[in-house]
Amino acid sequence: MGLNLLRSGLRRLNLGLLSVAKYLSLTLVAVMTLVILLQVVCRYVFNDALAWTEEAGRYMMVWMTFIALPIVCYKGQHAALDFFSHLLWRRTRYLLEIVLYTLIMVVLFFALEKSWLFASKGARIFATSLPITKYWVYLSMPIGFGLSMLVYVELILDAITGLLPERRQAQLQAQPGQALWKQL
Amino acid sequence: ADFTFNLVHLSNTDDEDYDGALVFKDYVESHSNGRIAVQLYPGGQLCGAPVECIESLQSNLIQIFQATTGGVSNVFPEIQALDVPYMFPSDRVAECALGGPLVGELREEVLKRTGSMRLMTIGNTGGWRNFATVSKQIKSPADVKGMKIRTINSPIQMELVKNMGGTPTPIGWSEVYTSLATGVIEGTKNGITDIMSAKLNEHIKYITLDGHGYMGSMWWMNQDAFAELPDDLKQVVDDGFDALRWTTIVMPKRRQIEAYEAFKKGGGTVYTPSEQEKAEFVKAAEPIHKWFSDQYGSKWQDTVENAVNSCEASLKPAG
Amino acid sequence: MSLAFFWVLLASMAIGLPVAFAMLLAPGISLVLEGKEAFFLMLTQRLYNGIDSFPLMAVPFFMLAGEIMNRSGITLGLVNFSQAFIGHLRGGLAQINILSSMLFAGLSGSAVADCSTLGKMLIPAMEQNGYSRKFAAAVTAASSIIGPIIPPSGIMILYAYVMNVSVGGLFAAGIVPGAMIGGGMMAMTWLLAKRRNYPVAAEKASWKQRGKATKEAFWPLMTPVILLGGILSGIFTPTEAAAVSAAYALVISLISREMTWKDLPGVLYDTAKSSAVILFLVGSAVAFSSVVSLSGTPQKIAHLVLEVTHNPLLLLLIINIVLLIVGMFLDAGPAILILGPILGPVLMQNGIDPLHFAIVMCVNLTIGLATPPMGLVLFVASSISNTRVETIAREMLPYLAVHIAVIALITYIPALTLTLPRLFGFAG
Ligand code: NA
Ligand code: NA
Repeated sequence: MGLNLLRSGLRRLNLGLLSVAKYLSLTLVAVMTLVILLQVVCRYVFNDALAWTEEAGRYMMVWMTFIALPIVCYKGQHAALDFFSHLLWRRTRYLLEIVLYTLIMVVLFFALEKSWLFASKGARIFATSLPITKYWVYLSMPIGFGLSMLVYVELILDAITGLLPERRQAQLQAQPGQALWKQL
Repeated sequence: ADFTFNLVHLSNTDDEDYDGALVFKDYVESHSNGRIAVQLYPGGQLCGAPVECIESLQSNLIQIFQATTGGVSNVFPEIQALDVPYMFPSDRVAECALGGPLVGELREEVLKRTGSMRLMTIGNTGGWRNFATVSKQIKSPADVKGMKIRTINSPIQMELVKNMGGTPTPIGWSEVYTSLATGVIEGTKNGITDIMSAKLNEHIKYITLDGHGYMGSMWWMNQDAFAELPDDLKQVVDDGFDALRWTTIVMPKRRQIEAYEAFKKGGGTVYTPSEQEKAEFVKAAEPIHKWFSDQYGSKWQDTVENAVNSCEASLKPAG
Repeated sequence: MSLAFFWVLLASMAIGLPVAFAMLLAPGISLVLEGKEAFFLMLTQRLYNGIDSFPLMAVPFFMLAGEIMNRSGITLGLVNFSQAFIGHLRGGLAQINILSSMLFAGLSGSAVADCSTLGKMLIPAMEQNGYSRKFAAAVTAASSIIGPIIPPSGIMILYAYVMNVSVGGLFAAGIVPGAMIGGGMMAMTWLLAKRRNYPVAAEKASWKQRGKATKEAFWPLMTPVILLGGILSGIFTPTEAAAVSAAYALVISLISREMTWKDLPGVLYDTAKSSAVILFLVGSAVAFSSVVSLSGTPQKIAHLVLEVTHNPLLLLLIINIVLLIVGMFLDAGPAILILGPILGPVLMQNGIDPLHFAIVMCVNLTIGLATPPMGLVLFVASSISNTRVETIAREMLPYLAVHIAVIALITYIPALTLTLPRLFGFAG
C-alpha cells in the first residue's frame, strides 16, 4: 500500500520533471540548428565568420543529449539485447528487470558522483569563444544522470509491484485530450 | 618502478613531440635506474582535445602533457601573449626568451591559478606559423584583404586576420582538408610539418614565410606527481625535460628541410617577404598590442616583450 | 593481461543491459579489479568528450531532416518516385535502400549518421510495402557502412593524419571497394528477392505515371543536388550541410502545406530523443575504448599476431580477422588511433603498399561496425527500428557474406584499391 503510494507520488514528480526536460531538449534542437545555419549565412553571405557558433552548437547538443537521457530511460528506448526476457517466466522476468535496473543505478550513481566532480573542476576552465566556464556545460551531466536515477527508482518500484515494461509503456501512451505537457 | 608517469601528446609518432617524449623517457628511466617509468600515449588515446587533456592533467590521471597556447588559454588566457603576432623575431631569440626567467614566472603564475599545473619547459612544435594559401599568393598584408583564412578558434589569431582585412574562419582541424578542397576557406595559418602531415599541400600551393607565430610547445606536469618525488629524482626529471626541450627545438629545423622540399616538389611555392614587406606585416599587426591589453591587461604582454628585448640585446654579435 | 572488461561487457549485454550502460559498467568493474578507481573520472570525461564533437552534430541534423521528411510525407513521395521506376522489380525497395546509401555516402562521412537517417525514412516505407521490419533494418544497417568507404569519409581523414598517407589518395582508393560492397549487396538482394519471393511493389508504371511521380518528388529529389552543390562550391562544410538539409526539408514541407508549424515541436522532440540514444551510445563507446587503450590489450594482441608469421599474405589474413573483431568492440576512430601505428609499419616493411593497407584497415573496421554480435551501427538500426539486435543480426548474415567476400578480394587483389589513386596521380 505504502509502496504504491510512493510509486504514484514518484511518477507524478517524474512526469513533471521530464516534461520540463522535454521542452528544453526540443528547444535545444531547434536553436542549435538555427545557430549552425547562422554560421553558414554569416560566413558565406556576409563574409563575417562568427567565432562562437560552433562552440555554442556543440554545447547545446551536449545539453540536449543529457537532458533527453532520462526521457529515453523512462521510455525504455536504449539499444539492448533482450533475448532473455522473451524466454523467462513472468516471475523471473520481474527479477531480471530489478537486477538490470539495479546495475544501471550503480553505473548512474558513479556517473553522477564523478560528473559532479568533473563539473566543479570545470569551473576553472574557460570556454574558448563564449563568456562562460565549462562548468555550465558539464553541469548537464550530473543533472541528466540524477534525473535518470529518479526514473530508475520508479522503474524498480514498478517491477517490485509487478508492472512489466510493456504495460508501463501502454500506460505512458498519450491519452486523447491529455494535456500536452503530460505526454512524453 | 616506484613512480609511473603517463605522458600524453596529441600529435602522432612522426612529430617532434614524440621524439622529445622518447628522449625524456629514455633519459628519466635510465638515470633513475628504473625507479621512474614513463608510458607514452601519442595521438589522443587517453584524451582527445587539449582542454580535455588539461583536465586529466589537473586530476592527475595523466602526469605529463604537451600543449600549445591554444589549449592553455582556456585556463590562463594571458598565455596568448606568446601568440601576439611577430612577437619573436627569430629562432634564436625565441629559444632564448622561452628558455629564460620567463618560464619560471609563467610556472609560478599558472601554479597559483590552478594549483595543479606545473610548467616544466617550453620547446617548439613544428617551427613557425605562416600564411598558407590555395590559389592566391600573399606577399604583403594587403594581399590578405578579402580572403577567408582558417584560424584556430582563438581570439588573437582571428584578430590578426581581421586586422589585415581578411575573414578569419574558425574551422575544426578535421574539416580543414575538405574546406580547402571545396573553397569554404582560401587559406590557413600553420607550420610546414602540420601542412604536410595533414596533406593540406594537396590543395595549398603557396606558403608565405611571414613567421607571425613561433609555435612554443609547453610541457606540463601535475604538481602533486612532481612534488612527491624525492629531491634526486626531481633533478632527474628536470634534466629530462631539458633534454626533451632541445630535442624538440632541433628536430623541426632538421625536418623542415625535407618538408619544404616535398612541398616544392609537389608544385608549391615558398615566398620569403622582403625586409620592407615584413615591416608592413608587423605594422598591420600593430593594433593587436592594444587589443591584447584591453582584453587581458598589459602585464603578461610586457613581461614577454621584456624577455624578448633583453634576449635581443644579449644576442647582439660582439663588436 | 586483464580481459575482465571484455567478459563483463559480454555477460551484461547478454542479460539485456542496455549497451550504453554495459560499455560503462564493464570498464568500471575492470578498473576496480585493477585498483584504478581514480580512472572513473576519466570515464566520465571521455563520455563527455565523445559527445562534444562538431562532426557528430551531423547526427541530430540528419535525424531532424529525416523526421521532417517522414512527418510531411516527403519520404512517401520519394518512395512513390522510385517505385514508379523500379517498383515492378522484385525487392525493388531494398535495392533503393542500398542505392540511397551509396548516394548518401557522398554526403556524410559517418555510418552512424547514414544508418539513422536512411533508416528513419526507409524502414517504415519498406514495412508498408510488405517487407518484414527485421529485414528492412538489416538491409539498412548492412548498407550504411558504405558511407565511410565511399568518399568523403571521416575515418579516412583521421587515418591519413595518423599514418601520414594522402587524403586524396585514400579517397580515390575507397571508391572501388565501396562500389563493390554496394554492387555485391544489390546482387545478393536480387538473389534473396527471387528465392524468398519479396514483394513486387507495383505494376510496371507508365511513362505518364512516372512523369507525375517525378514532378511530385522534384523538390525532395533536389536535396542531394543542393547539398553536394553547396559542399563542392564551398558554401558549407559537410557537417553544416546536415543542418542545411534539415532547414531545406522544413521549407519544402511548409510550402507544400504537408506540414504546419504546429507539427514542429513533435518533430523536434522525436529528434532529441533518437539523437540522445545515439549520442550517449557514442560517448559510452569512446569511454570504453579509452580503458581498453589504457589496458594495452590491443597492442598486446597486435604484437602477438606479428610473432606468428612474417608471410605478408598470411599476415593480412590474420590481421583481417583481428580488425574485424576489433571493429565490433571499438569505434573505427579509436581503433585506427590505437592499431594503425602498430600494424602499419610492420606490414609496410613486409612490402604492402601503405594505401592498400589503409583501405583494408578502414573497410574492415567499418564493416566491424555492423558485424554481429555487436557494433554501433547494429545498435542504431535496432533502436530506430525497435527490433532486437540479434534478430537484425541473423537477418544480416547473407550481406555479411558479401562484406567478407569484398574484404577477401581487396586484401588479395591490391589493384582493386590502387588503380584509381595511381590514375589520379597519388603514387603509393
Ligand atoms: Na562517405
Ligand atoms: Na541503406
